[in-house]
Amino acid sequence: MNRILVVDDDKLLCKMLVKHLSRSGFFVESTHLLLEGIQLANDVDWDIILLDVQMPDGNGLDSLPSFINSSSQPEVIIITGQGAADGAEQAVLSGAWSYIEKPHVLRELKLHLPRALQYREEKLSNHTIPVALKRGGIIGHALVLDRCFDDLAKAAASNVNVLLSGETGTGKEVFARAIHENSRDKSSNFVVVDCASLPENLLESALFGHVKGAFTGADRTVKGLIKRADNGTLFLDEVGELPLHMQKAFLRVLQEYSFRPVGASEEETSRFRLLTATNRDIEAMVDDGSFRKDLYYRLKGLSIHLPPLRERKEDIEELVRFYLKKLCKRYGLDAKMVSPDFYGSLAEHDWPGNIRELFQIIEYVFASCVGISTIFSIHLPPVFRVQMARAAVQAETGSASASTTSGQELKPWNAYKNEMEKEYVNRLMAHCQGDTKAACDFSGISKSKMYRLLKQYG
Amino acid sequence: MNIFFYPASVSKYNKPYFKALQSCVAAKNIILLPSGSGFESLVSLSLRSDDILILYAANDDAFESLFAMQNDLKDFRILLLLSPECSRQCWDRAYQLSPIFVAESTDFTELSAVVMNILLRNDDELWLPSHP
Repeated sequence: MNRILVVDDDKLLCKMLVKHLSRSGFFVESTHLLLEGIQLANDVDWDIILLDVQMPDGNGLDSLPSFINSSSQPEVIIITGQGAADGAEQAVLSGAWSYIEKPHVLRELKLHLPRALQYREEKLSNHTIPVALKRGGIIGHALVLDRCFDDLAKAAASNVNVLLSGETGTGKEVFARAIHENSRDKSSNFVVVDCASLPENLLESALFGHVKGAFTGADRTVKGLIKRADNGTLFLDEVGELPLHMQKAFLRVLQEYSFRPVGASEEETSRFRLLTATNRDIEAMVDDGSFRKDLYYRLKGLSIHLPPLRERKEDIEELVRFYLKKLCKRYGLDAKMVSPDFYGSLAEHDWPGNIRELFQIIEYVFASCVGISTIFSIHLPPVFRVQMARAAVQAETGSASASTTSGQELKPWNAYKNEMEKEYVNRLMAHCQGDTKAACDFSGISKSKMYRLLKQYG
Repeated sequence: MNIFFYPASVSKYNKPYFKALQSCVAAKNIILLPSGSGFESLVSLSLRSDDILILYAANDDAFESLFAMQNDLKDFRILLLLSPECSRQCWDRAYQLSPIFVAESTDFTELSAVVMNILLRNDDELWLPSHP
């Protein structure tokens, strides 16, 4: 979806453009202030910027270079008053795509916009992005992952804010590190903030820092993580957990690049590239009011969604080899061989915990195979072997059982129901690795009923 | 999710320090990794990705030994305790270990709150045995 920013002090015109362009399938945002427009251009990727000349806080033409040279290098279309031919000429000479005259903005836009977008598309397709991306800890070659690499390349080539989304354990931090490692600021600091792990009262001090004596126990001045990320990259992990009052404070940092450490009288400055990650549906949080819309727009200059492991099972083998090698090096042991049946067992699992869960399983297996040179599926936790055995039986009897289901001898209702319940409970417990609570959560069955079923069939 | 404590240098004060830590962070049993052993001890095989690993540097040398383990530490949730004897440089470089939390080693109050918060938020995560 192409993204258009309207910078015009005419509120009615803005409203009309946003409405009309949104209906045409564009993502549109507007602002009535020039400085806010420049800020938005720096923080978010835009394809087209519609820029008015006469703004209450400055002249649009004077600020044209700031828009043209912002991170996504958008095409700028100048909106001028009638008969301002000199200004229009200056705009085009300064690098604007074109100019259109008020009041026929919509009519003229229909002519200019498609051409500007076509030009931009061709320009971007020729844009030089890093040829040899450093993959860092990103392992795998599945097609769904390749798409993420394309986005990673775009992110690395610009300085735009990036929002990484995906289920827990899909490797969002690894991706964030890779973006940093491939960016122009790779030699600067990469600072991680885990918004979910820190209690609210500690999060503020960790982010902004504090001065000595700011609160009980603050017996030394501590530099905050925002300051440590100055000229580098700040990675806010689990940004969806950021409390509302902190969202407001952080938005101000993004707008003004300045903040005040806890207990300090002076403001400090910090300019950083922002990467964020979440496993929550932030759009839904915006809708229900638990996440600020203005902050959300600033975070998602570019969005990258990481696929769950179950959608890239072809990468499991490579991930296992990578992690085993890492563990052997960590513990100073010789390399280990892996039997094909081991991979077969792993492929039967759905991996709700994704790569993190896979690595935990490898660690479990590794710990049980210290003196063994080849790893077999027998070394896996029993639940995996059960899954593999079931899958094998199903594969052998698959078509037969499918066709006989309808042709089975009809049984009394209670006998049939018991049989089905038993099968469901067994499959459920295998899926949840024997965890009763997880089984209740997954199935929606109450605890008391679950215990009754387990007693009856387990 | 398990909690481990690793003092980076050998000292007779490590055990009483560990006991004090254990009594303050009462949420769960903490597993003690042998001081200064890196990942060479058998008990370190019980570590799982995303486990909580509380690191303790009693001085600059101990911090340097932790720094040398930087690549492997990224797999865990690091909580770092620095002794008052650690220099300013240690504090300035501490974030490079990507710790969730850094604090002076003399007060466990905040550390305990962080541990509790992590455990509460991860209550519904998959459970996997540490020992096969």
